[in-house]
Amino acid sequence: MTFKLRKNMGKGLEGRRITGAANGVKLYLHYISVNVRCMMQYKTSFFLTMLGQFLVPFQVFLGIFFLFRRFDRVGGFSYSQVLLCFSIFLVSFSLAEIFVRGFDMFSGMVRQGEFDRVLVRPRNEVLQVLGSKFELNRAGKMIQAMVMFVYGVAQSGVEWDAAKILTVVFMVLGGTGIFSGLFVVYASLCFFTLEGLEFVNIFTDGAREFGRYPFGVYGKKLLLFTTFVIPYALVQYYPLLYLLGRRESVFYMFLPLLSGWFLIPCGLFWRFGVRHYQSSGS
Amino acid sequence: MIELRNLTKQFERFTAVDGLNLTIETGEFFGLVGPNGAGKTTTIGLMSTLLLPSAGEIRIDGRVLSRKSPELKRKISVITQEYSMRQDMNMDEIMEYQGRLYYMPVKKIRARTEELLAFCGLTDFRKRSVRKLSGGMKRKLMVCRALLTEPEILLLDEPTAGMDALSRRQMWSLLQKLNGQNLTILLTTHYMEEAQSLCGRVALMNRGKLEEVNTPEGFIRALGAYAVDEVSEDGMESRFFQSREEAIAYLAQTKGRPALRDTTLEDVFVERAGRHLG
Repeated sequence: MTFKLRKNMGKGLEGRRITGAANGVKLYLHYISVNVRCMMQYKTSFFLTMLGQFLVPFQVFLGIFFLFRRFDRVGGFSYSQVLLCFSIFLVSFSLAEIFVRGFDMFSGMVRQGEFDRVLVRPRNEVLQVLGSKFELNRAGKMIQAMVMFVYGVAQSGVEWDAAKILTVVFMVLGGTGIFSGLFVVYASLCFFTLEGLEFVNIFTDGAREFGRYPFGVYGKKLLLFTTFVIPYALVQYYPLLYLLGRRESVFYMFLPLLSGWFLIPCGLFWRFGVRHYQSSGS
Repeated sequence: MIELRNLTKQFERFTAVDGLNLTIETGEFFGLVGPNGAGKTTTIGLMSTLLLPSAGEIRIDGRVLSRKSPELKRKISVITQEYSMRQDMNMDEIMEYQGRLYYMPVKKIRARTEELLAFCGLTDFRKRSVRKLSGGMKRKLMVCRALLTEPEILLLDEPTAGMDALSRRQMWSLLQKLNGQNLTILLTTHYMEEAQSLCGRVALMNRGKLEEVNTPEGFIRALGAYAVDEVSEDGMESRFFQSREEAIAYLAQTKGRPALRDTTLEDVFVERAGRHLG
């Protein structure tokens, strides 16, 4: 077999380079397809995990269901309104888990020295970490959320129009952004502690549990925290008031987009962590 | 050309590489040998930018190598000792993944994959996942992956560790063919036979420092080209002679069943290592 080491001796790699962003998207889509194909090698495991992911929030749903068998309203919100609120929040969490799982599992990458390999490749490290994991089997939570959402949409008494539909879209996007930001913070801590710190789970898994009910029901202090510190209320409570017709101003519709500011400190912390990791010589 | 200038790597409590000065010419097949803990793997890590030096620098064709020099990094491919491939991907996917990381067009990736898998005799196994490959196949796949991006320098850290004798010989043959096409190869190994068979020059490292650089023949000549092995109550002992006549004369006067043979690079290593321990 005749083999030429290099077709263009001395010129090295030529490659056709499209714009960086477009090429990055192509690479990310390729990562996803590979991850999905690899997951589907073990179909039984895939579907069992998805079932487990469906059943976990189902227990939470049962808790809400039985609570409302006893009480008519919680903090002024009815059963269907609470389901609507929780379902949207759960969809956000699921999307973050599916797409940003690489950051959630980042401690393994640092511990095994995999992040060093990431750094030596000519690709953005965020793209590579994102592409390292794509867990479609986490969609079990999302299926649960969609069932609750359909019920909530039908029964909550919301007068749906284009603005309200867009509000829901913004709520999902904003919530996904916040959860993703927290996964990035968790990953960034791994540069300093190697294992990451479990307390961050208070703000991800814990927040998901708190998010069963509109954040306003927990009192003023928590509402302030979830408005100005970790802006969950901007993607859940305030736009929900708009959906339910309790607030008229379209400003409430755009609050989920405003929550995007939270990604800035998360991103800066990540960059700080990467620089610290590199300067320590690996 | 690769130049290592006063290259140093310190970890918290010890110095893994200490003031290493080395020049490797383009197209050379260069070996890095030494006992465990000599700093060989660390040196490979520094040259691949997996590790950052504490002091000193590495130059490729006169330019300083760093993580921020992608053009230089593209010239280098590394094959590490550990298998660094996703176990659930097959060969085609491994190659495409690698090629996309380096902005290669998909058509070029596929054409090149075809060539490389055929070159390494892996075409029939391309749809098999990495998990189901033998150790030798995994190593060959790592070679294919490393060559995909058309490097000019190949760094190999114990490339035949854990391989059976046949697979090792096949790997040697592959590496010799690649070197024949002017690929610069730097190899670390514990197998002295490997260094002796493949390398034009060998650097002997110990405790992070460079002891000597020479051709395998040069090392052997310095020790003595002929060896006589004697079995005694204390075990086997080897003596070395510069000429065959001296060796034969010694044989003639020795009792027992001594054996005459050519000195190997392993003898050089054992003698040197023994001197340090003794």
